[in-house]
Amino acid sequence: MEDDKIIRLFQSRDEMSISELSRKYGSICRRTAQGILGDFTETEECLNDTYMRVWESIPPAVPRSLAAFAAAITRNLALMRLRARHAEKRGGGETALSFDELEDFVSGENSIESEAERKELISAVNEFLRKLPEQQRQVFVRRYWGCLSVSEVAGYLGMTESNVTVTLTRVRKKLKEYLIKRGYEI
Amino acid sequence: MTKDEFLDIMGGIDESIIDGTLDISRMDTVVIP
Repeated sequence: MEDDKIIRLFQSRDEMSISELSRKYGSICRRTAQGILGDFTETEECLNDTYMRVWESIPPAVPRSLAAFAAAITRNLALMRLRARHAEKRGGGETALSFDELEDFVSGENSIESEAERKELISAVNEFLRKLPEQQRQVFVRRYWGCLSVSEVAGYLGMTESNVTVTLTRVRKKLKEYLIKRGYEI
Repeated sequence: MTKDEFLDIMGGIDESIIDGTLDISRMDTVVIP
């Protein structure tokens, strides 16, 4: 079924929308959740949560890309679950995913004080990513949106792990300079 | 900024970037290595 027809089913509150979404993009969402959570049961729960969240979001939302819309919801719900799991085990703290290389990129101090500031930052990052050369954007988004490991990114893109690491270092540096120039403290 | 704040910011990036970069609409037909 075409995406616009699935969206119309959501808009008309037809529960077939969920089965059509699951049929068309369930495997993408499952892969996204599995990559972050690494646990079958939690992945399935996360998928169910995703379908409910899409149901609650459309309307009023009208996604330009239903696949990206659903995958983004899955990604964010999976990260929330991972943090909750990590907090339960460790009594708090950041996500259990390993992003050690970000130590040099961020200050480690909470700096986003409002939803408006968060939206401004997202907008600045969108602008930055759109200007990046294709391969650099692929590497950066797969690592920090898709939460793939460096070796997984290398495998997807046919690069060496060393090249991926160097690319990530360069893009982080560029993004940091880009944001600082625009007055953001990171 | 904390690492989680950064990952949250990345989670909010535009659908067109996600779709275009990950070619997500066609992921079902992609063989994952």
